[in-house]
Amino acid sequence: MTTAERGKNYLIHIRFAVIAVICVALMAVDVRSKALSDFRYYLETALYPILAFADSPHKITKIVSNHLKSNNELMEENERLSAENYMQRADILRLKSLESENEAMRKLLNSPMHRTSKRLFAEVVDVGSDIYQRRVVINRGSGSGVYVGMPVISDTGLVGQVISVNYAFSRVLLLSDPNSSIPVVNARNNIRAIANGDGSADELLISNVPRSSDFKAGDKLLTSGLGGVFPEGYPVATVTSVGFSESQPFAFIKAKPMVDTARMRYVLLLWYQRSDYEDPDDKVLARERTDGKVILRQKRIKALIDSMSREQAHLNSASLPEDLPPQVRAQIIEGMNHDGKTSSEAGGPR
Amino acid sequence: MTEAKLRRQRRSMALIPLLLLTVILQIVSLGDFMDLNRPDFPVLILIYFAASTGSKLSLELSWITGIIIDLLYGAPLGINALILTAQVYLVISQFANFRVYTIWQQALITGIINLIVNVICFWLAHMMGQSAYDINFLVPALLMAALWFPVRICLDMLIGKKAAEDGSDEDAP
Repeated sequence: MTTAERGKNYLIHIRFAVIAVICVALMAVDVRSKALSDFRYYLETALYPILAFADSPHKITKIVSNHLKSNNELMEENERLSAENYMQRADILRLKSLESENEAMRKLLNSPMHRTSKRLFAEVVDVGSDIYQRRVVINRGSGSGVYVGMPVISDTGLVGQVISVNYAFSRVLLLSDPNSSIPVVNARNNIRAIANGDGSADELLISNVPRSSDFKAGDKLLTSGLGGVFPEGYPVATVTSVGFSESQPFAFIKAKPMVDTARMRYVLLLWYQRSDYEDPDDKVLARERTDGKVILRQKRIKALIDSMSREQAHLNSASLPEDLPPQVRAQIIEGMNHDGKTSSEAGGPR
Repeated sequence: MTEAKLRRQRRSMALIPLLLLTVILQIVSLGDFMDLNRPDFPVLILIYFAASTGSKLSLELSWITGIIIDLLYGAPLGINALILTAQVYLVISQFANFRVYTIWQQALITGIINLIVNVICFWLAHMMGQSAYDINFLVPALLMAALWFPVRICLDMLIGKKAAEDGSDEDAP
């Protein structure tokens, strides 16, 4: 090997070392801080046409398959969808009455109202993602008002939450991602638990549930609403297996997500009002006491104090010197009465 | 303009569209099996140009391609850049005579290097909390080795074997 070749090889090692250090530093900064979020926002937005182009084979396949459908198939589909729509509209009628009933009940109990004011339909952009993560890309971004932490559902259950937003698209952290934890409640007996993703698409782990807890295969798990990220009552998963081990303090529970994240094509984004957020107009105040006995007792005590203070003032006026002018005497008695009233108000029952 | 310069221009003109194509292949949905076992398509092109034609800025080009893939994946910035650059670096630094090896030897090296680098980057991802437990390293490495044959043959035909040999003689890494 000549000196020039050795020099070239040496340069390659240095170049790679510099690039490796930059890569590790970038990774650390990107994962641990938000310093690069603006940089990512603009660059990822600029790269959206590539994502859209990568999704085009799927779109073209869909368009072609729609065009190739026969008239009979289309009529059958139309009939089926019409029937489905009719049934759903009938269900919605009942849902509206139930909602208003629930609202009235909550008002009576002074409980805060749960509101999901706005929803947005989005399409999953069919592109592969990093094998280290369970995420999907949807075609709605900050331009449509999407924000980080937004709950995402589909027609079958909970999908996950928005984890990063760009102008034209967003990334959704699926409930099967190892970084995802969802507070759930067992629909059969209201036992609360946490559903964690384990990285595989069709499995969730229900962690830290005592062995004595009543979990059975087939139980439906719904969002509990705790934590304020996901609205309450959306189906999450079905328990598939419950295992126990004498050496472990907790049960080993597995569940299957309701949503087939590999096949889903459309999702719904929810503008969910967090439970810890209080709208000043909707603030629920404690009700005033209306117990008759309490009020009567309070009135009796007040009257007793008033009469005692009057008696005290009368005794004081009797002890005043006889030679005082009538105007001065009246002023002193009035002052005594006033003091008595003030003291009774200050020391009165609360 | 000399013939060698023309050939070099032809090589550079082929490299960018090919890289763009492989970046798209890297993100496009290719079915359940390929999505789980996706080989690093851009690495095949980058290795070919780095080792066979002696491209001078191969490491830097690999890094930029990796950063673009990171942005498209939404992955931590730098992880795919490191995966791509490390594979190209190992080929050009450890196998100086890569271009004269037989095609099956080149395929074997490409597969083994892909396996090693992906295992290292898997550890790195775990250290940063980007964990996934059902990653298969062997199948993507085997696919990389298998894909080397068509890629090498197609690129030889596309840019000309002569051009590759000329380039490697002119500016070896």
